[in-house]
Amino acid sequence: MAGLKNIVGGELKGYTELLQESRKQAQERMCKQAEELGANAIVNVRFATSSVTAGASEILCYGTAVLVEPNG
Amino acid sequence: MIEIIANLVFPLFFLILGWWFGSRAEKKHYRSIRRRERKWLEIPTSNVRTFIPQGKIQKVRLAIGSVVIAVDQFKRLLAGLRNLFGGEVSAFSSLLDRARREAMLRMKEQHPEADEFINCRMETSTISSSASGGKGTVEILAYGTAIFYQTK
Repeated sequence: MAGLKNIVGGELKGYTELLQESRKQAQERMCKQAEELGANAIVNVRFATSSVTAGASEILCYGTAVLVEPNG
Repeated sequence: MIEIIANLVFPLFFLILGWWFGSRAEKKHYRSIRRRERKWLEIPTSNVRTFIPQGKIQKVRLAIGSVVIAVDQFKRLLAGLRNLFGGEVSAFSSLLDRARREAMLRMKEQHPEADEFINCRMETSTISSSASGGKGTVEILAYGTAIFYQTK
């Protein structure tokens, strides 16, 4: 499917979904880690992607875990 | 005879196929992008980290939108020719332009009720697949903070 799309061009939905799911997983791991640290919010979240080899990429999600307290 | 067909006719067939479907798909995509962008004209979107809220903030949410998009075989050939002479690779700049705008729109469409998007960032990565020789397939990720104001 991806091979065909490389001929005619256009969106590769399979890849989009794959990366979305991976990103969600990275996000969940980040949230879990923040919870372990005792935080209740994460600010300044950033994403980074790097190609490892053909057909594989690494998704990195990082942010600053903070403890937000209600005002007053 | 079979060799001639395999070496000449098939690549040519794929080129024409790519040019025909690729240019049609691109025109269609641009029409869709322009139509959807008009809907979001009124919603402020910026990459500032600190901003002056226009009201009492009800909630903030992370907004993410991503798209993986490939260039067609014909444009890949054009880009290959460009590498000989140098200059702007317009085949790829239109690919990146529509991918960025699409990712941005998807980010916004994740939160249709948002009043403002701040701290928007974009991330580009190359998807290397053996079929394309690692060329012409990109993933664009757009993400930002959706701000929801309290309704008075």
